[in-house]
Amino acid sequence: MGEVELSCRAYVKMYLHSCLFPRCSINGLLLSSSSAGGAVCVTDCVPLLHSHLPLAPITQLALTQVWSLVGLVSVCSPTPCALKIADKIAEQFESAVLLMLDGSKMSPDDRVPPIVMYERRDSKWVLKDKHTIMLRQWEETQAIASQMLESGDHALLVDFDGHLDDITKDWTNQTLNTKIAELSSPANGNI
Amino acid sequence: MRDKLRKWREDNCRNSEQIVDVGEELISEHASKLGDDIWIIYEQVMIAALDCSRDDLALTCLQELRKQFPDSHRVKRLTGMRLEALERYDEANKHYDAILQEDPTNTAARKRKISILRAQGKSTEAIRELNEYLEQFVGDQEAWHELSELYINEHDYGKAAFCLEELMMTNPHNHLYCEQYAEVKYTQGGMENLELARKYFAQALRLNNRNMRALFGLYMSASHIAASPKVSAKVKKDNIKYAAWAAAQINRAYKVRGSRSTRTMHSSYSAALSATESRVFHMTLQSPTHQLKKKKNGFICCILTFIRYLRTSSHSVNLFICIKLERNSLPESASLAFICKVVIPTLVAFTPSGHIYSFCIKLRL
Repeated sequence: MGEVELSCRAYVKMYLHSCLFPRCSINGLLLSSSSAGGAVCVTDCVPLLHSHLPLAPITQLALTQVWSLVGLVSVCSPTPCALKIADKIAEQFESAVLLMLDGSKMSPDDRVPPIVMYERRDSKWVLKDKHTIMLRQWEETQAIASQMLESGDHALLVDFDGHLDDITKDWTNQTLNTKIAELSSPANGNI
Repeated sequence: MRDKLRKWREDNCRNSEQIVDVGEELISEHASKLGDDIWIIYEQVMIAALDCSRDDLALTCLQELRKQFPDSHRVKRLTGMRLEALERYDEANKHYDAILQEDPTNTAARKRKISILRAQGKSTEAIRELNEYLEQFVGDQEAWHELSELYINEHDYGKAAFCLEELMMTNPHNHLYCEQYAEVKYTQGGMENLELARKYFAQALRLNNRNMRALFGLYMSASHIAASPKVSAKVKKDNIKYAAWAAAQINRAYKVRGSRSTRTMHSSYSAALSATESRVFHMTLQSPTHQLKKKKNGFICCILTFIRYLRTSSHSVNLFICIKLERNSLPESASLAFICKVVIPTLVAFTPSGHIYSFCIKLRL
């Protein structure tokens, strides 16, 4: 299958989401602005839930509200429910990916991104070749992520669960997106 | 600061980072002024420190507590918790076993042992132990809730539902248990479970009408039932009504609380609903004579569409009708006759439970 490129914004949001709820397993959806040919460029990540992941209604609801969906993020080993949701996404989009954030490997000094990606081959989810995963400017991304964590910006992140608790909160996280853009624009021209 | 810590203790909040910040300062600088409160604060700060991986702070608190209460089971439990945090599970288990030998009814130690099993990923053993625990201590709500979560993670929805039923029996006014039970039923799937889910979502809403999850859940379960090919026409109709009501409530909630994020569902309802909420509806129709027939039909269609919206909104509507007939329209008598014989009876026949307050016909000829 094709290459997958992970943008800075997607990684930072995933990272902040897992830091915001260190005691829960979380999941989220990966979005792409356009799927051009073989390469999938993941431009954004929408944090979803941090409680009762296997329960259906809220996940279904979130899936109806999000568009240009290309994948699923999860923090834990691929549980059956994560695989089920990923299968549903794969029905809509062939090159869907399942991304696992490895909690034990997340630390500020990591040289290697703590992610494990799975892709769908012959209706099974198999590990994707590490060389086909690209993270643009990993050092800058990591620096931005740690900086935002230290400055407490992860508290600004709102996931779908949080939105349902208080619907005035914006789960598209526009303010956070702007912040990430501000921090990353000196480093590279585009996200 | 003391009061903050007390409030967090009483509300059982798990905001460990904040507790550590406030508690650390309190202990290091104001210890002498705290009196006997200091011991419970040490305990609170220690548990929070373990949560934040601050072993240094946890050890300090633990040592103070050990000095003051050398033989206390409560302090021994804290020692065990520290060992758990350091992932020295075997030592922690030995600790808890020792407590249980001296005091077999110590629930805290038993629960810590179950937590160790959960932390090690041994869900089946954890479930078994928790079931045994609950046979002895049937009223322990925290334990029932924990068991329901364990079952949900194992995808054993039937047993999770059973646990939540126990919780609902002892806490009939808790909307969160109702809503969680409904979610489990929804996930189980199947027509019976969907109907149950819908009922419990509705119950949760009765207990707390601001529960968005319950509202969305009601909408989704009703829509699913209505969309199923196996249901009777009446059931379909009823569920469409419920779904539409839920959609309206959701739209209203978003409007009222001014969120700008998600796109509203069923935006087609919002236009009609804003009209009903303001209770005034203006229908303006221009009908040049030569297009009389077409417009007449068009006018009726308009009214019928509007009435369909009203019926689906299911709250009583008061209609103020203001009909403006423009210049070059039907001859005056024909218009009046048309309105009296056709329009008004149609509206009266179809308006669910409302009144037609007045109508004002402006004839501009």
